[in-house]
Amino acid sequence: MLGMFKAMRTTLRHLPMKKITVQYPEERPRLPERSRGLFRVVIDPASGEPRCRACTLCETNCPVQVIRVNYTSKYQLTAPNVARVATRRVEVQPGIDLKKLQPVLDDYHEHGTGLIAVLQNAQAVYGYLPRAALQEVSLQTGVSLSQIYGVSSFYNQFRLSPIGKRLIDVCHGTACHVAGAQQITEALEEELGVADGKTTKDMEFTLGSVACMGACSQAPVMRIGDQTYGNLTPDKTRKVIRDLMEQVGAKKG
Amino acid sequence: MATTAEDVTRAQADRPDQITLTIDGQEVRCDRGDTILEAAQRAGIHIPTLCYEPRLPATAACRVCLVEIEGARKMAPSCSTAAAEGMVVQTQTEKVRAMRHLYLELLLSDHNSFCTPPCRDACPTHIKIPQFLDFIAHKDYKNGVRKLREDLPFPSMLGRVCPRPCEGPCRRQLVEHPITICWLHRFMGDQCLEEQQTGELLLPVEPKADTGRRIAIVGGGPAGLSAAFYARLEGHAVKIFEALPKPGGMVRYGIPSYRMPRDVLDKELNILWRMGVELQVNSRLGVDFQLEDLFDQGFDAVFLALGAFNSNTMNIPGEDADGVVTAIDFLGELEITGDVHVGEKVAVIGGGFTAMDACRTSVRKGANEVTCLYRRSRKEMPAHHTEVDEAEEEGVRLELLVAPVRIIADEQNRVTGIEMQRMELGEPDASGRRRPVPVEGSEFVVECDQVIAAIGQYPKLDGTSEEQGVKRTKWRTVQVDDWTFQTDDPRVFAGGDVVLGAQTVIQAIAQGKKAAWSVDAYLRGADMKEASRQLAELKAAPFLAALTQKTDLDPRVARMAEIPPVFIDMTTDVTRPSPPAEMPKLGPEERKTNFTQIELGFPEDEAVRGAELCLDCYCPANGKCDLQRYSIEYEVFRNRFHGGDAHNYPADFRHDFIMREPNRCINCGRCVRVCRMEVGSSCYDNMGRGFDSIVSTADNLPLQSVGCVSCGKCAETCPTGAIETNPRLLGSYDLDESRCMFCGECVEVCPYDALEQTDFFELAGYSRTTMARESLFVREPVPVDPLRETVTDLVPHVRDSVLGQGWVWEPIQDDPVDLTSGGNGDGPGQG
Amino acid sequence: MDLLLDIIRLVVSVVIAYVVVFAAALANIVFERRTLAFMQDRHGPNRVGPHGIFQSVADAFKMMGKEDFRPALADPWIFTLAPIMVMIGAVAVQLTMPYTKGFTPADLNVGLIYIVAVTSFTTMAILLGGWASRNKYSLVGALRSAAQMVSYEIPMILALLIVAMVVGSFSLDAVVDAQADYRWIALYMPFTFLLYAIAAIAELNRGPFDLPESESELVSGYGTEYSGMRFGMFFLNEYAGMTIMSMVAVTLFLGGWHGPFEDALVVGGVAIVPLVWFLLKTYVLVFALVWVRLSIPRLQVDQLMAFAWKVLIPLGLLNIALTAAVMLWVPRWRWGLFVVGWVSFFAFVGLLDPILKRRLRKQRERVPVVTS
Repeated sequence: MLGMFKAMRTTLRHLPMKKITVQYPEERPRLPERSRGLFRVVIDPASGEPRCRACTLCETNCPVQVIRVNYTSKYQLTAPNVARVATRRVEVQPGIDLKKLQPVLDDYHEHGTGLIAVLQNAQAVYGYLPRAALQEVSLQTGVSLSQIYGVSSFYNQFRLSPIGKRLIDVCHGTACHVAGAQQITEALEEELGVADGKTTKDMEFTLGSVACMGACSQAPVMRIGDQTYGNLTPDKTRKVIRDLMEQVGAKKG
Repeated sequence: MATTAEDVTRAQADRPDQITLTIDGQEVRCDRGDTILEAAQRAGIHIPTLCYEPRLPATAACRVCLVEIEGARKMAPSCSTAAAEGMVVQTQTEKVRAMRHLYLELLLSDHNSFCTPPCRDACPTHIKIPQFLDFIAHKDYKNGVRKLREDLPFPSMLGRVCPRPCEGPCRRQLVEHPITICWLHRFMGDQCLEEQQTGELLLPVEPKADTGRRIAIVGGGPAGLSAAFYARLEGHAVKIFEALPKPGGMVRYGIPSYRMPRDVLDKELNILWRMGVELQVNSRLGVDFQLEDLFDQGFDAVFLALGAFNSNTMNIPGEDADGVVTAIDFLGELEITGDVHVGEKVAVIGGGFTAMDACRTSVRKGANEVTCLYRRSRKEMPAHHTEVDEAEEEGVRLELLVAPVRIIADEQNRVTGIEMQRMELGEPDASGRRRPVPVEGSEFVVECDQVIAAIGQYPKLDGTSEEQGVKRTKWRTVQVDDWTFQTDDPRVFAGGDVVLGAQTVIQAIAQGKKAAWSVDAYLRGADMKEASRQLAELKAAPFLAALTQKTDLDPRVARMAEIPPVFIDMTTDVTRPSPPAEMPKLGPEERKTNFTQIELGFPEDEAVRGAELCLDCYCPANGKCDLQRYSIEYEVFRNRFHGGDAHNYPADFRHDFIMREPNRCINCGRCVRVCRMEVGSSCYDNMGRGFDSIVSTADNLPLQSVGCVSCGKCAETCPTGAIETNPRLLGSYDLDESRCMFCGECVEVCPYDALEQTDFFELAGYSRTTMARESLFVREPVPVDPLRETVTDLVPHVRDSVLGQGWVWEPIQDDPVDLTSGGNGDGPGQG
Repeated sequence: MDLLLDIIRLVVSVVIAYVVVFAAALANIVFERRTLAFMQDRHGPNRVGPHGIFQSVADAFKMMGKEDFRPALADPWIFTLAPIMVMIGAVAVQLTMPYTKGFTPADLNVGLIYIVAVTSFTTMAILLGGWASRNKYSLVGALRSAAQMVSYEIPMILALLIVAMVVGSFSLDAVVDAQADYRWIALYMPFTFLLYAIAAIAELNRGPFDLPESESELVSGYGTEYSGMRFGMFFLNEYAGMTIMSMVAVTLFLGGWHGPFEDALVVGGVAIVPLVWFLLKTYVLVFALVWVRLSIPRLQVDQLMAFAWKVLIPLGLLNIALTAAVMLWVPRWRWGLFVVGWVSFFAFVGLLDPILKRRLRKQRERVPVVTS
């Protein structure tokens, strides 16, 4: 009985107390500071301007695409706002058969070889490193494309553009240099019509210089494919290359 | 276990893993494991860094954060050396500073982008030279003229008479030869001159509405005309009072018409009359009207641009002889009357422009022998060397290192000769030029029947008085406030030769422009004394501070500011020299008998070619660049590493928001690491090797093809101007509330904290049928400035690649992403 | 002619009575909702009309707007009749209440018995309602409710009897007169008052005794098949009953319309001030009813019946015996009643809990609680 009286006393005490109801819409509930409600563009108090720099990241990321950021750019650039366009991966280059690359990547997955090994193998497959192949490597190894290009541009060994069918390497090591390797190169440049390091237009020959082939007794030396030619003179070089060009039907330039 | 707040702070203070070290003699506490750099930053000691990104592990690539550690053999990079207990570190010793200097030099040795154009600074009126050269390169002469007119109203005039102070420091001379800027803007002005006689006036800004104020300009020379132009643009009514029969001042009455054809001058000035500037000729101050009359007539301000028309006298015996004239009188008479008496043998004393003009005019007027007598050597002649060369080609004989002693006259007091004394160069005088010292006993006589004295001018101040507030200086010029051009009477301003003494046209124009702005500020009620003080303060402030500090200067006052820049020495690509645009001229035989214009003007492709040579010495990061800051701090004003190797990369503006200029890249790798580790997109990497390494995207693809999320963090972290964001002005921000799911992705992703969520949830006002497209922010549309900078202002033309050694940088042509389709509707997360 | 006038007078008075009862019920609803809310730290309905006083009107409109249907198999006449009948008790009792000095609408000399008799109508109406719904669960709920009401009528009658004994008359006016000069029966027979109060609350199906109500809120109960205004009548009856029971309690125990300044304001033969006192006291009791309902938890159905039969009725009988003994054999019986009344009150209040606890313990000892 007394317990009941106590209960009644409690309820009576609450009669005059402050009510916890929030009289909406006259009053609004005080929500925590980090409540996530409607959005507001923040005006920087220091400058009085919105902080927004119209990078349109919010617009790109919105899952329901309800945001449109309208802005004017200071500089009128060539592309329209390509930041709005999804990062569509560059299309595969035509003519690159990625199936040939798969064994290399299988090897990677199995043995966990390093990136450079993968790149070397890839180059062995295609003769150079086409962008499509590098993208595939990036996708399968998880290394970002930029990093792959950073590595492959660092090393001389990796070629990022296709070379001709036949790579002509002229040795410019000490002995060959002294023996007149420069004239050999010049002669080849003349005959082929391309500068040192470049490829002929019909993609038959690529002219290159290398450091030392270790055939110093026969300096100056050049190597075309697997065939090494020693004791060269400019005339001999011309003869060799002309014969070869005729043989394969290559043209100058 | 700490339980109370006091316990926690006590525990933190006594943490056993805190160490103490000494940096620059100051004791510093830091946590064990902190690097020296972090410890120093904690203590407020500044160590320069370029490649350090606070949130990422340090790489010590730039080596400018080197410090000396006592007991260590070599200097250590503070960003990646852990602090140890009891370490003694010195951050500013001689050795350290020298190393930092070296590394900065090395960084600048392949930094093919200059902070601020030296040509613009050398020009007294600070024309935006690289910008208008770019307009010429794009054959957009109209906008080029507009751009030029922001600082110089008369391209065709100055293109013929200016002594081109801009070309002296032009950096193109590192490659082969300064660009012929003056001729180029003459070309540009000429292209547009005809059309402006009747058609659209090419003005830099829309002239402001009429203010109802009237400004009187006394003097129709370059200072006065320039002031008229700028005052008119501000909306004030302007009237020029010119003493001589035609406007032009020294340009018309001191410069002969073979240099400044009168029809071109008239056409150039016609633009002023078309703008509404009034002109009253044959009105001389002090004779036809007084200063107070102007105020009585209702003018609110007066600008005195009286020029310097009084000639210095030689102060030698016999000066009063018949046949001795001053050059100003000589040339003036020719202009006013159309003819002037020229003797058989003419001796011109002096070595400045006026002297040359007098010589060559004499030649054209039929003198047999013209001798120019100058007391210093050829190098020190104030006249531009081309003038001197051309004069010699026309047959003028130069006698250098001679000074007049006395005039020899006959019984009728007609000049028959002039006695000269040889001089030799002694110590430099106040102006820096070596003083000529007479050689005893070297007198000789030059026979002549006319002596033209061209030894300097000073202002004619008749009509003004000290009582009126127009004070004189000891050089016989008018005393004005350095910045506001006001005399003691606040309504009376003065500028040009009358203040500077006899100087060049371009300087007069600069003064006229600034005076016009000053008058405008005054008429709009600015506090001129305060303005003067603030401008003086700004000039005296160190360069970077002046450039970057936020001032509450009224923009009208701020535009009068002069901030002398500090130039650091950077290399440029010198591998493809190309001769500057050459001006075809009449040959000496053709020209020395007449007053036809000598310089014939460029053909269009020559002008375009010449303009394209500009190295675009400006960078949007000027004032914000860390490399610049440290280079100035460590005084890298002479770089030992100039050579032929500097790379020349093309700019990459294929992405609409992130603009990359690899010429400015110092390979610090911050963007690479930020993009890889913080953002995750991994757009960049160091490509190439050794000297040829540069930060770029994979295969030089545009950023949008390598997964750039356009956050701008690379631009934020870049210490130089190599990556900048395309400044964008938010117009309106629309959010469709009816479909929003309040996930908060946009708030989380925003790199600039520009969006936040409120605690307002109710959408009571929305309906299911209409989209609740709220604009969270709307800005009043800003009228687009017709001269809104295009990307060409930043780096005008994408240059061809340079075949550097090793890795080849080539602009990508085969990008399959179709950037012109304007968005293909792909949502994020594809590809 | 007279017959017509009589009939008209009859009809008008019935209508007035009904209106007054309705109005009182509606007012009670709002009063209860706001008071409950205030005691629960919230506002209650405060939008409709100033401070929400028109809330019930709005509710009434809402109820009237509902679809009116009758289960197909229900007994049509009785189904319709039950809600109408339920109010009869309240209206009839109201007419006999002494409102103020000189104005009792219908003063019966057997007022007390009349009250007891007429309030049974409610019970009958509920039973009819439950049966007419042709729903097993309604029937069971109705039976339960009726059982409760019937059970608690007995302690109520026992308390009323004591009043009649003390006053010496069944007439309500006599009861009121007997309480002049602050000789309120509640003051010297508090235990009786308490008894009556508990019984009245149970009669009304209110407060801790609202089991039928809770059931019908949840699943079954007599009102399951009723909707709209039909249910509204049952609902209103409860609130009308609040007023009525409070009035009865005021009349019997709290001095009726007695209070200071009784003769101050007399308008047309009707004294206004006592009316105010009467209404004031009534509404204090209504408030108490609301308060009790909020504070005390509901009794279970077995506890309910046990409480009535095993506690209240024996105590009521004992009370009668004691009162009678005192009145007969104690010379100054009023003082005697005073002492007996307060002693029994405190005894009841103080001893009920311990006794019940002891009984529970004993019961648990006999039948231990299985905790595995």
